[in-house]
Amino acid sequence: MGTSPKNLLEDLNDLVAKGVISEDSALAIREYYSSRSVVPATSRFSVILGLLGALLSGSGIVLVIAHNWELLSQSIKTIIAFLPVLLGQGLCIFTLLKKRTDIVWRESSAVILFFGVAATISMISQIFHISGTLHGFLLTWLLLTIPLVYIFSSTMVALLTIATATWYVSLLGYGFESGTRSSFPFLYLALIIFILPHYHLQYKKERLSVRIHFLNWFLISSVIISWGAFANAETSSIWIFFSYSCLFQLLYFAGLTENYSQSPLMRNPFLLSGATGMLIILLIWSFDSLWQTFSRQGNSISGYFNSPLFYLTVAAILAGVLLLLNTSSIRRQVPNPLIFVTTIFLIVILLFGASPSIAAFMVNLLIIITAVYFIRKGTKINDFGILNLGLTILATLAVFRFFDDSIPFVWRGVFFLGAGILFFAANLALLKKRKALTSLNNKE
Amino acid sequence: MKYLIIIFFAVAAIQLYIPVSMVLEKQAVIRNGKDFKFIAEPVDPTHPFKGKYLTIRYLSEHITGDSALQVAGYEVYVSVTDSSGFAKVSSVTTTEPSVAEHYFKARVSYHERSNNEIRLHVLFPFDEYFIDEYDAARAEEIYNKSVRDSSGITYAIVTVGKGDAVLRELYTNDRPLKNLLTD
Repeated sequence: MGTSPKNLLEDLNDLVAKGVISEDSALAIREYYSSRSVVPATSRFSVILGLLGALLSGSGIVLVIAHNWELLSQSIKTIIAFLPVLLGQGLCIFTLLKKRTDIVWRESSAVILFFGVAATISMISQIFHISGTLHGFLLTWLLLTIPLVYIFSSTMVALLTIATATWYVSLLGYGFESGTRSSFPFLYLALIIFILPHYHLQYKKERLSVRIHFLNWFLISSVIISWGAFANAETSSIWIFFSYSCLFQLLYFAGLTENYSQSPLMRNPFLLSGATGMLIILLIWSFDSLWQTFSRQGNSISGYFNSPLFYLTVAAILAGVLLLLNTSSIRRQVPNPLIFVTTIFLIVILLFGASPSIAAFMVNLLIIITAVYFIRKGTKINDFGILNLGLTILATLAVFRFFDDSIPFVWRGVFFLGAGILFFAANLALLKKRKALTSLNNKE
Repeated sequence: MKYLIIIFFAVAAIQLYIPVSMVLEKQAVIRNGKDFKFIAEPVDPTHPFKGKYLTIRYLSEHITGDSALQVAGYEVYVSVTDSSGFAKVSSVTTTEPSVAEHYFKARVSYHERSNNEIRLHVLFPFDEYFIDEYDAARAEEIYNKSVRDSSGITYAIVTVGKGDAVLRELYTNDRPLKNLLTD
């Protein structure tokens, strides 16, 4: 956001001609920008060349040291091992003293120190052959560098922290490192909560900024990846899916709030991830075979109650209900079936879990209703995107049913044909409607 | 602004404290501990190498223990003594030994019962030998060959102190692995 000085200066004559600003104001603006020190292009080019030179020289030194590493004594290796963190800290001190307001210096020095800490600890571990777990290393790294987010107001470090914390939770919570889960990654929650005030500060500053956009995507992706890590081994898969549906429902509600509902879809990660997640869960549970397996295993919920995931789900439900009650823009969506997915899914599990065919039928019906809703909405408000979303949901369901052996061929064929015809007909109808509207506007 | 600099210096001090304390702890063990030779045993030939380090398994990781120790993941204290130039496990306890001079912390990996005897498999904390990535493949080959060769002996020199241990070097037939790589 923000017009560059060059564009503004070019528009000044136009603004004066149209009476937006006076001649005196235009003159004052020209004088103001000419008095500001602007780094000439040649000087900036020199800086870039200098930086490249420094980078290449530094890389060269690192390679020479790496080649002769085995010949160095332990003491020399230890001293060299501290260089990354000392360099990072030196840059950070310089930034704090001289370049405090320069965002490039703040972000760069914080990021260099973030990686410098990891490099030093890794090198010390190598020199002394210190064994340890990867998730332990990641946690130490995060705890030592997370304060940089606030000291330098660094969104880059915040993003790197979120990514690293997600890696940590994957290793610990899903047992990717040891093969079995070690323990619940509760510290992950603490790390994410620690980042949230930074998010809030940036949001208050400029809620539609690129920083917030990236923070949204990173936080949402991280939470989605980590959610399942809080389930214990006794929790049956259907309850894990139910918990995910609650999370996606909450994200969907957040995407419908006034802050985001007017944004384009790609700038609304809450809506996109929430809707996509719920639809994927419904499509997965549209298979009769899955419900058969669930009904054979029995509806054991006691394991679920004992897992931290249950409490996170309750928190997500409460947050969702609060959003729903306090946000009129969500309530205005009420005919939208996606508002009710979690509730309906829970009802199906509890009431029809023992009857797999009925449960699968209910889920399929819900998907079809959702698809029809979006097709109808797209046609009404003249939006190809929404129309085709509805058609895509229907087409995906059709493809899934194609592979469903429990449905006879003839019904699969009929459903496919119907979906294909509907695709063409709906798009054609909307195109005709648009052409008619355009010709009407032209006549006027 | 002043407070920010003070906070940064505090954070920087902690960032330096962690690696410095790692170095000082290991240096203290090297200075005050005693060198022991731990005989290495063959490991699964398909996965002896993780990343840029060699995973070393030791013969003395297989210990006869009592039922109180048979919990996987349990932290134990392993005391060692010198037996004909090689390390021998003298005891495995759940509490820090008061009498033993040389011991370190380890973790129980699994246990098995055989003839009313419980055999514990304990993971020693010095099982990763870091090596240059360009030498890794050759090191793996030399190491695997040497541990399978019953005519020779492969062992690690480990300095053991009170509660900690530092892996110093890996030897094959009394020659450091690093020297064999340059041959």
